[in-house]
Amino acid sequence: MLVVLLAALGFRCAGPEGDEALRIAMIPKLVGIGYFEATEQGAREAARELDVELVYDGPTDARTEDQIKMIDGWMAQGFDVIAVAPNDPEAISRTLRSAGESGALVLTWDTDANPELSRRSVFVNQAPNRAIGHTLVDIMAEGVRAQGASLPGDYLIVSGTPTASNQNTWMKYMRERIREKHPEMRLLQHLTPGEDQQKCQEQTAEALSAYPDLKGIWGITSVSFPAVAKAVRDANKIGRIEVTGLGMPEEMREYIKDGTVREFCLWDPVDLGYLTIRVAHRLKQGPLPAGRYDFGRLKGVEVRDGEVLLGPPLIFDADNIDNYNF
Amino acid sequence: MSRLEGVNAGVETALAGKRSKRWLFGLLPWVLLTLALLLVFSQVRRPALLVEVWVPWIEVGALAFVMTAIILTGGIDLSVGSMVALTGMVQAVLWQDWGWSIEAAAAGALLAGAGAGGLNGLLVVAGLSPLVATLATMALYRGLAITVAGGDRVTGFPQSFLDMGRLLGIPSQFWLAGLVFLGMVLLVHHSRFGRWCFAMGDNRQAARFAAVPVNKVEGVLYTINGLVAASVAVLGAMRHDASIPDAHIGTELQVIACVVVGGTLITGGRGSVLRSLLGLAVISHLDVGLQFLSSRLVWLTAESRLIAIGILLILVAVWNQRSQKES
Repeated sequence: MLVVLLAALGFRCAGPEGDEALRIAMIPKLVGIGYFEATEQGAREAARELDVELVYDGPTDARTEDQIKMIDGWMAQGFDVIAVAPNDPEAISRTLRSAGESGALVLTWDTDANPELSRRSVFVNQAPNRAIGHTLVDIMAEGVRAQGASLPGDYLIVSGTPTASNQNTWMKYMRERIREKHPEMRLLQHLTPGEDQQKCQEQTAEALSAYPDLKGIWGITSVSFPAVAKAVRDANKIGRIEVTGLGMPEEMREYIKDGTVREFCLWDPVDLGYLTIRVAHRLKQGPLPAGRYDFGRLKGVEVRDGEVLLGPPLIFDADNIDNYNF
Repeated sequence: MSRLEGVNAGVETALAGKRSKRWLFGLLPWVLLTLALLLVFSQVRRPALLVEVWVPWIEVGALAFVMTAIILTGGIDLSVGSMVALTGMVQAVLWQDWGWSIEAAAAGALLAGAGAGGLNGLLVVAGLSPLVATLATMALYRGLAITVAGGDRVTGFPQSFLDMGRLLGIPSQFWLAGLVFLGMVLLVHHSRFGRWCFAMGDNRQAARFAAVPVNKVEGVLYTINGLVAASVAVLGAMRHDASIPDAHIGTELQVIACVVVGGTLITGGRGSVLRSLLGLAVISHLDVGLQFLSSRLVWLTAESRLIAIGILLILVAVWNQRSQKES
């Protein structure tokens, strides 16, 4: 306790008044999972390069109340920039709006808040939803052909919770791509087992025995994807059912190595954190009209009204997966 | 025990020594509080906004004042967080799906709160242990909260409703907590009802024999708790423009922690509402102070803050126990 107190007093004497480094507070949906540790890594890299003060902190459970509490605290502490990955795009909006009114620059990343209600300045978008939806379908089609099978057959999407807006948007674009390019792929009613590994696995296993003409399965959340892969492996259907989706290289490595999964995609979370801090720093110097910009090591990043786009998704396979550690 | 020994020894100075020691023990929470305050204020650039930071803790406080009375009778209410979520969702559904005016929906939420609290009271009166009864309703009310709106949160309340979230420039939660505090102080410490509470916590059987209306006291207290939970829910909806079905998970533990850290006996019979205010001050200052400090100390992550708060609470609890033995 004494040590903590002395530390606090010490900081007070050392005084923030003198140096006027930009102070940025960045909040992930939750702390303690690989994905948001990777975004932190990128954010810290950018903060070092730009010499800004960065606080990266979030709740231990993905809950809006806890995020609101922390953001209120940062407002009182007078942070210059508050960068938020909201757990609930609507419920956090009023808090973001008061943060903006109190003088902080507010931006969102990873997931957007309601733009009108929250009046956030920009949303740093990891990848255009359309590109993700289309890439998922294309990888699947390639994979089925690479197995030497023909495309016509049943296909299944395993999502998370029924209300998750990211996933629903991706599914919309997946259907669009299937209609336009591969109408011979027949889509079954998608599964929404929740963010629960066990349930995902059980429901996938049931689907595997229920649909004899099943050709491929997508797991489009970082929870459902490894569960789908495990169910397919446990059913000894490696090489007969194509599996792909959105997931973390660290969690999918074993399935790539044993051949359950040939390719999958995701954006680079390190770059997402990096870009967020870069954009925050740039916005403090003035408005950011639509166009293409270089943000540090990220070149030619597209900015359009209210959004900064990280770029096309990364595709992982057996050749490159060992280069990524998140 | 220790008092008996002191008398046996027959040395007056020993007693006096114990008394001053007791004073020191009692002071510990205040010392902690002052330290925590220092931490907090060394980090603040916009002190006016501190009011906002404290709102979640003020909500906990309002609930803790009622919980104090329940714990004094030897009871407990674990369902309080679930009741807040449930009544919030009841209001949202009445307004959104049933087309009630927002004021009528708020009244409906209060009624639902009284109903939920009343059911707790009924179960306890029927002879279930309060721990078991409210553990069950904690799950029940949470399940209902998630079911009534299909698991979705509800937003988009009318502006006139949201404007009531502040009264005379400060968040309405402060007014609610103030009212509840005054009300509970009067009820617990300045009325016959309060004396019944203490008597029940001391010895329930004896209280029954002494014609204390045990059932009535319990029914009233658990119902009040439901009402206050509903008020917290309504004010919360005003503040955030949202009713969230999985809100206030774990609030019951914060509430009970405030009561216990304040020094009210968890087994009932001894304590006070003022003590719970003290407990609230200690815990909230530690929590907010550590969060503020973490923006300076990188190693003070969310996880290590939890550990720090846990350890500090253990220390305070041990201290309370010892100082109570001394007296």
